[in-house]
Amino acid sequence: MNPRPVENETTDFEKTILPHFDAAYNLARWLTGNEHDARDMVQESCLRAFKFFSGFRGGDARSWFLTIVRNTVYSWVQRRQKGKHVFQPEEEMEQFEDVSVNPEQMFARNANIETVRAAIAQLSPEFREALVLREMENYSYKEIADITGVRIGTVMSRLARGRGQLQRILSQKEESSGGIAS
Amino acid sequence: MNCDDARRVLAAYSDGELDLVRNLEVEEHLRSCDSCALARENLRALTRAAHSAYFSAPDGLRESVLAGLRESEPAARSVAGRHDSRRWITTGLALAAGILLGFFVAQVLVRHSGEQTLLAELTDSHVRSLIGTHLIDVASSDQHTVRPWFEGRLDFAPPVADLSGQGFPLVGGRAEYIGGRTVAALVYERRKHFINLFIWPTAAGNQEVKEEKPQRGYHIVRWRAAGMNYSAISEIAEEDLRKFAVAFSEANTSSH
Repeated sequence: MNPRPVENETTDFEKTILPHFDAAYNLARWLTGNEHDARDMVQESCLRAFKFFSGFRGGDARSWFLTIVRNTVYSWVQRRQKGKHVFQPEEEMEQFEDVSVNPEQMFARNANIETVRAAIAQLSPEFREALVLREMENYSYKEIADITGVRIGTVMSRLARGRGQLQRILSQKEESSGGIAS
Repeated sequence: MNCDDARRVLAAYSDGELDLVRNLEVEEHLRSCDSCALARENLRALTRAAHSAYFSAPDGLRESVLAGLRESEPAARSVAGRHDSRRWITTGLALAAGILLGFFVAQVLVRHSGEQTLLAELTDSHVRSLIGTHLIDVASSDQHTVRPWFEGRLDFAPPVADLSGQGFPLVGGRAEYIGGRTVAALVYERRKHFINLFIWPTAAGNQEVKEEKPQRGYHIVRWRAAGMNYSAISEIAEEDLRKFAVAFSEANTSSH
C-alpha cells in the first residue's frame, strides 16, 4: 500500500479526503441544523481542506477533515451572531450527575428516523456534537476530545448528559405516541 | 462488581472504552443482572437510533464541490498551506508560487509515503492500542461476532478466524485509519501479550509471510493473500509471530 501517491494534487486529495464526504456533510448538517447551510459549509470546508492539504501529515484523514468542518461551521456561526457565543461558556462538568441510561424507561425501539432526528436536534450543540461523533462516526473518547478540543472527562460527561436527554425526549415521545415536535 | 459500579462504567463499556479486565467484569455482571443488562440494551437501542439519523450528502453535492475545487486549484495552490489567508494572490504570482509549492509538496509526499511510513504508522497504532484505552471496539472471542461488526465500518470484509486452538485466542477487533484508509485491526492474545493484525485490500498478488525489520522493538510480519494485505505486529518472539501468521493464513485457506 502506498498511502499518499505523488500524483496530481487534486487526485491525491480526492483519494484521501473525499471518502469522508458523507461524514463531513453529516457533521455540518447536525451543527448547522439545515441542508442549505450544511451544503455551504461542506463546500467551504472542502476548499479549506484542499488549501491546507499540504499541511496534512498523514494519520487519520477523517479526523483531520472533520476538524476543519467543525472550525468552518463555528467561525460561520460566530460571523452570523456577532457577540453571541455559539456554545454557552461551560463550566467543566467532570462530576457526573446521575444521567445513566435508565433501564425502566423503554424507548426508541420503534422510533422512526424523523422522530429521532427531531429529538437529537433538541439537544444543546455540545451534547449533539459529541453524540454525532460517537454514535454516528464511532470515534473513541480520545478522538472526540482531540477533534472538539476538550478533555476526555468532558467528552464523557457530554455524552452521558446527551444520551440521558435523548432518552428522556424519546421516552416522552413514545408515551404520547410519537407526534414529531416541530 | 455490583450494580453501582456497573452503571458507572456501562456507557464506557458499551463504547468499547474499558480495559480488558474491567470489560470482562462488566460482562460477567451483565450475565447475572437483568436490570443492568436492560440498561445496556437501552444504550444499544440509543446507539442504533442515533446512527439511523445519519444524513448522507445530497446527490450531486460531491460533484459540484469537486468542480469548484478544480476551478480553484491554481489559486488554492498558491496559498501557503498552514495559515488561513482569505486573499488570493494575483495570477502571475500564483503560478510561480504554485510551482514552488508543488515542488515542496512533492518532497514532503515522497518523504512521507512509502513502506517506512506505513511500518511506522502500523507500529504507532499498535503502541497506541496498548497504552490507550482503545485496544478494541468489539470485544469478543467469537469470529461470528467480530466479522459482522466490521460491516458498515469498512468498505471490505476482512477474514476473521479464531485461533484459540493454535494458542492465539481472538480478543476482538477495531477499525483503524492508516495511510489514509480504513483498515481492520484484529486483536489476538499470546500469553498476556497482544498481537495486532491489520488487514486491508490490495490489488497486488499473493506473497508469502515475510519478516520486516523490527520497529522500535516490535516484530512485524507481512503477507498478502486473496486480495488482502496482512501486517501482524507484536512484542512476542518473531518465530511465534510467524507461527501466528501461518496459522491465520491456513485457517483462511481451509475455510474457503
